[in-house]
Order: sequence, then structure tokens, then C-alpha cells
Amino acid sequence: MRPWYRVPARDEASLIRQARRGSADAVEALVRRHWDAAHRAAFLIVHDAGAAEDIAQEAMLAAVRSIDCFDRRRPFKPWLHRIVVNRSLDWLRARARRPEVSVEVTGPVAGARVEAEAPDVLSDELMRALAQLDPDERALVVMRHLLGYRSPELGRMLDMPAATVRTRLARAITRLRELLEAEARKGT
Amino acid sequence: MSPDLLKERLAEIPAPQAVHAREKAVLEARAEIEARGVSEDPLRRGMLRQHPLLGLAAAVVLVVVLLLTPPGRAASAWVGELVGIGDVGGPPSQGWQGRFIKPGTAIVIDNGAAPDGSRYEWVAYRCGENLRSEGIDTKFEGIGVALQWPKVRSEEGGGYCEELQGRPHAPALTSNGVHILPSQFKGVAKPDLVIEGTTGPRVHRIRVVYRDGEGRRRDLPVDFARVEGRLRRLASQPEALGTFVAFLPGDVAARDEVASRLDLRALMGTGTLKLGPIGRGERAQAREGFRKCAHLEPNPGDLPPNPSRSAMERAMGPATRCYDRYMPTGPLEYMAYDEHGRVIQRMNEPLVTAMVRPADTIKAEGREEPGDKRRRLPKETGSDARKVLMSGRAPDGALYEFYLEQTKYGVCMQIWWPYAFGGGGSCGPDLPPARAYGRRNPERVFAKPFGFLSDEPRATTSRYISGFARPRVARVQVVYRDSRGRPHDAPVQLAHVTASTLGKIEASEPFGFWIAFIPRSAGHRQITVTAYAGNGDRLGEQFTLARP
Repeated sequence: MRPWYRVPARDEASLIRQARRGSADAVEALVRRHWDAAHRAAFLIVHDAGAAEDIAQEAMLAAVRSIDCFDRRRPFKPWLHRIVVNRSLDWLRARARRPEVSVEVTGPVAGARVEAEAPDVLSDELMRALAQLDPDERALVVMRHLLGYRSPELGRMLDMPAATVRTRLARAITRLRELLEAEARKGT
Repeated sequence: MSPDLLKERLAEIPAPQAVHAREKAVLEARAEIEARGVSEDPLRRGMLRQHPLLGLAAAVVLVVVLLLTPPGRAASAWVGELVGIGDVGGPPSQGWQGRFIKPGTAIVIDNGAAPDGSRYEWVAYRCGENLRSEGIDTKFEGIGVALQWPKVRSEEGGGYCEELQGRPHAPALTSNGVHILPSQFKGVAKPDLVIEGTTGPRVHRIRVVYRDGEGRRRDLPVDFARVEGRLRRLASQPEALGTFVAFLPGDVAARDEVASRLDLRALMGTGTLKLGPIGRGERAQAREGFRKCAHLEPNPGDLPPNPSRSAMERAMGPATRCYDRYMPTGPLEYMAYDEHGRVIQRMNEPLVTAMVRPADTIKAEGREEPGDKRRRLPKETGSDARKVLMSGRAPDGALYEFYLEQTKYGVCMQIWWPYAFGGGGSCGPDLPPARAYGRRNPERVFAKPFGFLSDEPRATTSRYISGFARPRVARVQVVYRDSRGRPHDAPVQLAHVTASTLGKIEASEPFGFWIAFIPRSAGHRQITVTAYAGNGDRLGEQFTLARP
């Protein structure tokens, strides 16, 4: 039977133990280890380069500050990802209350230094389609298909039945597919 | 798009470069952890640096506590984290404030840590309650005690304010109930449970006994603290008191279905109740217990006004003895001991899900008997005279009235039962309410339920549903389905507020109001509401679920 949480690598448990004892090196190792996934998840949810940086930084700091409360028996990654996703959703909700900021992402993100040299049409389409999903749907898609959590895990993380997660995910994917097809039609 | 392809595509999306941000996060995280010093226990350091003597004294006391007390021995696994929490006698570590708490009066009277390391503080405070601005004639000075989890962002904890003047002696034992450990409320499959409460001045020891799914009993380690002497005076407490905390491991709680039997998620407003075999068995046993004992309960109407505790106990005696015999026993029992080791009170944590009383064991008294007196409904402070909009009888003869009342909350429309207990309704700025006909295309809606299917078992044996109707609606048909799926017409009463009576009730436009009664046997099925014009034309149809 698949465990709800992935079993953490032994060295990660050791890092957390050392971090709790005040080791800055252990904290640095944890931040470096989890930065990319946390930052990418935040970016794919909020679609704002600056906000994604802030969210990932804040999430890392929040995790470090709360590391004493963290249950050592459990893996670190889902805990951190929950902080990232919650903060991303909070940021989106706060932005939704400020109508002067456009929510739609229609092209490369302003101010972002994109690593890829050549523009990737498919990725742009997917990014635009993702941007048109509801924030909660977007978060679910990212958590399921980028971060790799399964429905029961997501259900426990989001406090909803796994069946509800599956339904919402299916709805989100259907919509994403429709949006991608529409994007493709626009392109042709 | 297959899941694998989607994953691949998501991973391929070029994320903005964030090297600077990452390095900044690394620096800040290092600074954060370095600011806490270099000793092996970050929690210990801050306190010892600020209060070296206090730290030494606390360490001595802690060692004594750990060596001498069972909870201390049990807690030794997480002893390192007991030091450094908001100090006993000092302010709470999070500068805790509540709506009614007097600033600067909150002090920590006990502290500790749960098995997962999350820390708790028992906080005592002075408080004041003034509800006059809300139209309730209540104003007093008081005291309160609350359990707080300083580092857990949660609604857990709460608190109360108890009037100081004329306060009766505290009961020997007060359970604040069993809760999911706040730090594990989300994201933990088998969360630990925390059991907590307070004790009166005579209590010197508390036992918390857990009965597992097979009936075996065992004592849980208890953190019991007596607040007396200087600490009591510091905490503004008029008499000694005690606090207790115990923990039940999550795997044991999950195995024995404790969370669902005590309905912990549902009580906290999240999650759905899923009973297991133990819970279902207890519910069946409780149902049988209610059938055997409910008729022994005294009629509220036969009790004197404001009966004393002893009078209530006498009146309830036969029913209590019957319930003790036939009802299931909860998994947790508390025992309070005095200084001589005698048990002065014992109590069981009630089984919430089993104790939900089946409606069919409650006698409906909404239909008056000869000699019954009509109850007087207390008037809402600041409200004007009531105007009855509609009155009638349920199928079992229970008399009801819908009345309107202008209050500070707006126009309130409520139902009440002049010969039984129960009632309720809603208030708002407009009548009919802005959402009387729904939010989606209200112009196409002619009659619609407003609110949910209601149940007032003390008043009537039927459930009821009510709603608004357009002025041109002459008849409302409500169809429900029985347990076999066969449709039935529910009895409906419809009243109209016409233009000539609008001024009397300060309504903005003419409207109709209807109520329909549906038997409990209808079950959780769809109810259809159809509106008809005076000439018999069908105007529209609405659906709702018959979920009480």
C-alpha cells in the first residue's frame, strides 16, 4: 500500500534534526534542496515573477521559523509545498481585490528573466491556458501534475475528500484541454 | 493530454530565473536560525539568556516534576522542549488578546508540549463583557482561563469570561472536551487528540482513563497543575484552580474511531462525519436507550421557573438512572481526587454522535392540550411591535405563527410555536430579501424555498420548508418523494402581502409567503416547488434537496 506521505530520505530527516538544533548549514541545505520546486510551483500558480520569488522566500522563512513545530516523523516537502500553495492562493485573492492589476497573462511575464533561449510556443500556450483557470483549480493542477501528489494526499493536505479532489482535478483538466485547443486554434 | 505529458509540459515551462531570490532566501534563513544562537536546543537558549536564575530554577523544578510525576515521566521524551515556553507567572508568549480580555492581565499559569512538540500555555486573564451595544443587557467584570497553542495558526483555544461577582464555587471538574491537536488539524492522517479541562479548588489530582475499542482501560499521562498561592493571586483567581491536559496518540484514536465517535471534525466545522463499526454500534445502542428512557424525562412545562440544581436532579433522576443503564459509555472517563485521595467527581466524555437524539423519540408538543397556556415570546430589545404574517397548523395540529419584527438587525421574519419550544428565522435589510427568488435569473422564478428544510421535533412531527412567491402566484405545489420514490403532495399554506398592507410591514414590494410540511419519512430526496397562476397556468418550477 502506498504511504500517504513519501518516506523522506534519511539525510533529510538528519538535516531537519540539525536545523532544529540551530545549524545554519542544515537550513541552507534544506532551502537549496527545495527552492526550485517551491519557486516553480508559486510561479505557475500566481503567474507573476516577483510575487513567486517573494512567496518562495516567505515560505522558506516561515518553514524555518516554525521548524520547532514541525513533526519530525513526517517529511518536510509536503509541509513546505502546502505553505507555498496557501501563500500563492492568498496572494491571488489579495490581488483579486485590487482591480487595477490585470490577472490575465498574455505573454512573457514582465520583468522575468526567462532561462530558455528560444520562445517555446507550447509552453506559452499552456501558461496562458493555466492563467485562465480558477486559482484553486490551477493550484490543484500544479500540485497534482507538477509536484506529483496523488488525490488522497491532496485530499488530506487540502482537507477535502479524495473523490472531491479527483472531481475538481478532472474538471480542471477538461477545462485546461479546452483552453489549450482554443489557444491552438488561435495560433493557426 | 495525458497526465505524463502534462507533467512534462509543466516542468518545461520556463520559470523566471530566481538565483538572486534563492540566495537571499538562503541568507535570510541562515540569519534566522543563527539569531537563535548555537546551543543544542534553540528553545532553551532565549530564556536562559534573559533569565539565567529563572532558567536554573525552572530546570530544578522540571527535574523534580519529571522524576516524581507520572505525566512527567511520560513527557520526558519531549522534555527538551518544555523549557523556554512562556514562563509560568509571566505573560503569554504570543501577547495573546481576545475581544473581552483586559490588556496586560493575561498570565501563563501552566505550560507544556504535546508529543509532536507543539507547545501549549494555560493562560488566565481578567476580562469584561459588555453586550449592551449589541442590544443585550449584559455587562460585567470577570475572569477566564484558556488553553492556547502559541505557535499554531489556528482557531483552536478560544476562551471565556465568567462573571466574578456572585460567582458560585467552580465545579470539581470541567471538561473542555477532546480536540484534534491543533498542530495536526490539517494534513495529518491520524492526528493525536488533546483532552483538556479545569478543576475546582478541592481537586489535587486528576485521572484520565481511556477505554479502548475492546473495553480495556488504561490511564493516560496527565499534565495537572494546581494554581494557588502567589500564582493564584497573580492570575486574579478568587480561589485555587487546576488545569489538566492529556494526549491520546493518533494511531490509538484512529483505531478506536475516537474522532468520529466524538464528532471532532464536524464540531469544528470542517470535514464530514464518517462513522465506523464502533460508532455505528454505539449509535444503535443509544437509539435503543432513548426509546427506553426518553419518556421518563420531565416535561419542561412541569418544572418550576428557574429550578435549582437539586430540583433538576430530582426531576431528572428516573431518566438519568435509565440512561446510565442503557446508553453506551464514552471512551474517556475523568476522575477528580481531593487532597486525601478520595474521588470527588467522575464524568465521562459524551459520545456526541451517539447522543444525537432521534427526532422520533421527542414528543412534539406544538398542538395545545386543554388547559395549556400560550407561551410568551420574549421581545427583542429595541424591536417594534410584532406583526403576524401568517399562522396555521402543521398536519399534526401544532400551531405556528410567522411574524415580522423590525429590529436593529433589520426586518426579522421568524416562525414560532406558541405551545412548544423552538423557532427561528432570518433578518435582513429588505423584505422580501434580495435573494428571495435566488441569484440566477430571479425574474424567471415565481416561487422558491428560502432556507433549508427545518426540523422542530419539540413542536411538530413534520419537517417544514418555506419560501417566497411572486404576487401573481395563486397556488404553490410542493412535491416530495417517499422512501420508495413515490411522489406526494405536501400540505402548503400561502399568504400574500398586498399593496394595501405593504406600509404596515415596511415591505418594499408585494409578495407571497408559503410554508409546506413534509413527513420525516420523506428522506433525503429532491423536493419540487411549482408555482401556479390564478387561472391554473404553471408559472415555474424549482428544486431543492430535502436535507434537514
